[in-house]
Amino acid sequence: MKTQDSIASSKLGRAAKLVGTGAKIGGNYLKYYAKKSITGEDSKEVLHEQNANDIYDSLSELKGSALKVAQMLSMDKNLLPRAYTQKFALSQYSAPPMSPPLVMKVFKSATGKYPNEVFDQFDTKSLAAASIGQVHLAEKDGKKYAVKIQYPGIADSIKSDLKMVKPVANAMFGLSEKEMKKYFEEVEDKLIEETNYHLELKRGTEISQASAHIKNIQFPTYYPEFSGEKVLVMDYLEGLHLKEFLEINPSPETKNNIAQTLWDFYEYQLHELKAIHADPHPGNFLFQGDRVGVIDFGCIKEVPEDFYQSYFPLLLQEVQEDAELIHQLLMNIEIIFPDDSPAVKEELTNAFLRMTRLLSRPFCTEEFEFTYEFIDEIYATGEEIYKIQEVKKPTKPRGSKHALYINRTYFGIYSMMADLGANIKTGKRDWQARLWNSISAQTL
Amino acid sequence: MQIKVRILDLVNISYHSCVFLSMRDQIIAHYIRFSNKNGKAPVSVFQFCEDCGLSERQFFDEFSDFEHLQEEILGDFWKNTVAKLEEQEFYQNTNDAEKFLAVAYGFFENLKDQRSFFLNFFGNWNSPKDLFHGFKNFREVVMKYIDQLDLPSTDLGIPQINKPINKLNSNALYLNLIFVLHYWVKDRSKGFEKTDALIEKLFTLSFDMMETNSLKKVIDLGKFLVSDFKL
Repeated sequence: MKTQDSIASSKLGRAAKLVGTGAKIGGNYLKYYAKKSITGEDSKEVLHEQNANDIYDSLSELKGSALKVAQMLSMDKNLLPRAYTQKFALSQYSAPPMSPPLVMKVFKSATGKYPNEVFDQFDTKSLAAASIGQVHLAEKDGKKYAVKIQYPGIADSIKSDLKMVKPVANAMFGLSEKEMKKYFEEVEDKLIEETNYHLELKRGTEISQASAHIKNIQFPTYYPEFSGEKVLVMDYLEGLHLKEFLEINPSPETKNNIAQTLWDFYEYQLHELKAIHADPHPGNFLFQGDRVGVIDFGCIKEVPEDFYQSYFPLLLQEVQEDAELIHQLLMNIEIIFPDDSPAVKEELTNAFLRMTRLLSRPFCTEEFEFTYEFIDEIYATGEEIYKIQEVKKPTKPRGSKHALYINRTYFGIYSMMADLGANIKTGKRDWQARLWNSISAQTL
Repeated sequence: MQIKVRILDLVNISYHSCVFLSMRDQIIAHYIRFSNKNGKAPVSVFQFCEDCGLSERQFFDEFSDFEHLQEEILGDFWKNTVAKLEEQEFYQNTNDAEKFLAVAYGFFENLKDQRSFFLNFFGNWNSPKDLFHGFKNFREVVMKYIDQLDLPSTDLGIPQINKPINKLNSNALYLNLIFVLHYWVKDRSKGFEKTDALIEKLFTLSFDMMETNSLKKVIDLGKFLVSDFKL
């Protein structure tokens, strides 16, 4: 077995980049300690900023799954300031486009026919790059279809990408490979799942059927008869991505309607279906008028019941005031551990509560207005919390692996809400009363 | 890409019912069947002929030796792939570089159907270099195909140099094909999708390099090979 170090340094290209970051971060620490020893002045602030800059500089040159992992882990730890995270969101996987003969081949291998035998028209030039393949426009009997074609060998390349990002992520959080393992496994599982189009078809169909009643929402129909493991055929949805949609200056009512639809969709998935579309990337939503089109069900996070019962009560105001209950819930979701010192427990509990009170604001009022100020406050609080020793350099891995994708999803939704300047009905939902009832019943 | 190749059909049909086939094709079919059944190629022409009820004369009228026969098989796979693709509309309407790519994909797709045979067959060839020097007839078939294509050409501005350079380019395509063949023999990925990825990266790069130098694709190929061979 090769060690992490030798993997990192022997894989050229991206790996060299990562090694470079490590060296740079090391350099920053060196500068920091040198300066501190001379001036006695503590410039950790500057240090963090420099580290964040260097991490961002090199991660922004990473592509594909490595980028995704880095992005997720850093979001979760609030490690990167908002401007960076936004830039991250814009970066996309960019393998060179597949040649038309390869597209033909993959399609034929999956379905037994060439695209032009199935469709009246098939555009061999891709419409867009999906994260692990590309999307082609096809037409049959005057109806438009989107055909997603997967790049061959992508699952292996995800695995090797992950191997390369591991050492950097470990360094970023100061945890060992063993301690980071549960998070990496979660991310790797999800990424590998995304390469399974059979699964995407099944889940996409299930979630869209179950959520079809939500007002103004639209899902593509999937066509199993034309699809396969590496080919996914669905309706082509018209519409604009959020950024372009906002450029055509939709009315405040329209923006609120859209935001409400998105919010209701996520509330329904999380609290009724207990499985969420965990990739709220702006590219996965198409807007037209008041209608919201949702595509790409490659990344679905199923929320285990025991995690649900421990994590979401924390969003309830009543729970936030019950110290004993909080203690128990935080233990359940692995934020604090029985063997932590009382001081550490208290510090972490306070930090977590502070963040949760902020994040749960939309749930505590009937209506909520999402502003950039709100998002900035989240970031500022995140950055402050990050200064706590046990958060910055944890002695053990803290936080359940299930929180990773849920936090990421909320992060994505909140920023879309802020972009829409949404003022919508958010709180006092059924699930809140339901959870409170079940908690009260348990504690009685 | 399930392009039916005549040989494949034959192998599955019993030899004696194949009276409508030419003697050459009958011998090939029997050779593949013999190799698959015994896990190795026949040791001598005598043994082979006795097994399939032919006279040695009948064999030697068609082939000089087993090596010749083997090369003919590879050449047949290539020619049949081309023939089947020529019936396809997208193939007719595409440019020649993409035609070559389509044939390369089709060729390896077809080889899959007789992988056991080819693993046996290529077992003696240890390096791409052996393979490159090994198949004169197959090489001729491929080069003949390449030469009639209008591929991107390198223009260095000096007509006297352009011609040999472009000859070199055609040779490079064949060499790359052999490299893929060598890779395919060792490929253990599901559906040999890594071979597909290699074809894509290798040949699109080759064509780009014939025209210009495309650093991006060089790096992409490099990354693929590095991660795969754990260099």
